Amino acid sequence: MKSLAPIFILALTAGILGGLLAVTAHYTKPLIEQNRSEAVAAELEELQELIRARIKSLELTARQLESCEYQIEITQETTKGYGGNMEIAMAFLGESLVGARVLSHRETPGFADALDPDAWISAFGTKPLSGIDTVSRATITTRAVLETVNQRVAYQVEWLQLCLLDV
Amino acid sequence: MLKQLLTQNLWSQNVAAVQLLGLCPLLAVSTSIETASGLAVASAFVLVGSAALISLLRHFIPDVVRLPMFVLVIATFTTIAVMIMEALAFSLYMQIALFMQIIVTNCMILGRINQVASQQKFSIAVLDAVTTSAGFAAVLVGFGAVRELASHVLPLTLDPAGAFLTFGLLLAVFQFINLHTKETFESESRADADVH
Repeated sequence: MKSLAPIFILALTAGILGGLLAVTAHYTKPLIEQNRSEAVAAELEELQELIRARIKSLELTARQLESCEYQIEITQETTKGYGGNMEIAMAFLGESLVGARVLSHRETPGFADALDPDAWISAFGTKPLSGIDTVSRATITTRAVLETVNQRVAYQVEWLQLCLLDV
Repeated sequence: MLKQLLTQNLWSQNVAAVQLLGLCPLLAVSTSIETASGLAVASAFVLVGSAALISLLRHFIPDVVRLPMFVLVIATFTTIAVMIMEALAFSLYMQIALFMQIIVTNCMILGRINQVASQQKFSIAVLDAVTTSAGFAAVLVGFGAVRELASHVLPLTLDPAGAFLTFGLLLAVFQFINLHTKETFESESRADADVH
């Protein structure tokens, strides 16, 4: 019985500290969720801003925006990066990619710098996909983004053809 | 006691600059003053909190579960620090998230808990933790400032290789000053002894 005493003390301490963590989580969870949703909203707002800029540069009319060729769409896809799942948002005008942003990821800081809005990922929508290469030292992360965007672009092309047929 | 702890933990036995402990986050996060300060505050919170609790519990901790108990306490305070920072300083947290979570493996913290907090009374344990944290923070923030400023002239300092080179150079300067002040102190002491 005496030999079980250390285990009992350890378990008791773990229980008390677990309670302390539960209390902290209870008070911080709403703030954390608010911060995360604000960060996602900011990324989506950036994509909407890109769409508005593209519409302005193409001088599209409201009537044109109702057509399949220029239909606005912001879509979200989940893919697997190096550290876990990544949530990617992509903005389209018809079949044309306007921009992409990573809403959430679990990649190693430093190696995920390419996902910052002003870094590698900003190339999506500004130059052809064939001209965007993966980033060395963040190959798995950037390849996952590139493949997801490519798949979605292929889907948008198919969708546009079907949409035009319907019309 | 306070003066001795301050001299020892801030300078002569500084955990980062002399004992070279906790260098992983130090090299990784010290790319700017902001990130370095964030990690310094979080490390201080974990060290002071863990040292205080371990010191209070030291008579009740059986020797066979000593290390698991230390890790349990450090992990709890690290998780609390992570949650608080994610709630109150989200943008900073996003930059140093990974290194916040690995504070639990920082040998500087486990070392002070094992050497001091588990053997000393509450006030000494807390004082030691505060001065050690201050010493670690001084090196972390100082190094972050040097890298941030130097990066305007030499962008290499922000790279991992640049971090090692810059830290090596700073250590050399630190050791030079340390040895020089030690020699001056010893020669002055000898002179005093000769006079007497």
